[in-house]
Amino acid sequence: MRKYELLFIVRPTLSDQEIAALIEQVKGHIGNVGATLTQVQNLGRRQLAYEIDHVREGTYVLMHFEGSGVEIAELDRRLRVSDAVLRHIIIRIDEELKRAERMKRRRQRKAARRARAASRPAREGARGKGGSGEEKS
Amino acid sequence: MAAAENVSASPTTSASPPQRVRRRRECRFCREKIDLIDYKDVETLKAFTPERGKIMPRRLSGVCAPHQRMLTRAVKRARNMALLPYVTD
Repeated sequence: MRKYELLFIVRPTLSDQEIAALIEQVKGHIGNVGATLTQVQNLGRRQLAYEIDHVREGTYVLMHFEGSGVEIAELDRRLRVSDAVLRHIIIRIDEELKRAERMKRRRQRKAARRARAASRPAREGARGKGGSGEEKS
Repeated sequence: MAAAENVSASPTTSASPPQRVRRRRECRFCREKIDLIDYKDVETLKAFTPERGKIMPRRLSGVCAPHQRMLTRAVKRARNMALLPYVTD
């Protein structure tokens, strides 16, 4: 299963109820195309950095879902067709998350190694810096 | 034989050029242990896109190569979603 993140901007002319209805509709799309929704978050209304369709504001909605990847095309098409959605982006995030996890682990390993290296000379006593020389003797 | 020795000795005798005392700063993302640069994190991205909205080069920001790659990607995604401007005048 691949993890995806969907962010879309809703036209500011929609009322809160209409936005809620639209979110439900998109949720339905995600379910219909065979993906499983894991998280929905309304990020609220925000000033756009530039004008889209003559509007300068929009409500951002974030969704996380899991799927095999074949559903994306259909979901993308439906979002594109929707008039209420100013813009949307679907991003595959599982690989980025994995990479972040790897970086985190590597950092922890490094920290552990440093801690060991720091404790070893203290045990030996006299010299601190000649690590390789001490190992030979 | 003797010539070779001379060559090897010469670099040590020559005086080293005066070096600017400049402390090497670690990449900001490395220091803060950020493994993932999120395109939705506008405040962070703004710090790397000065007035014109261009992406700050590594040589100015001191960001390491892996983090710069993540950063440029995030900035481009953010621009696409109107979180950051493409152009500012």
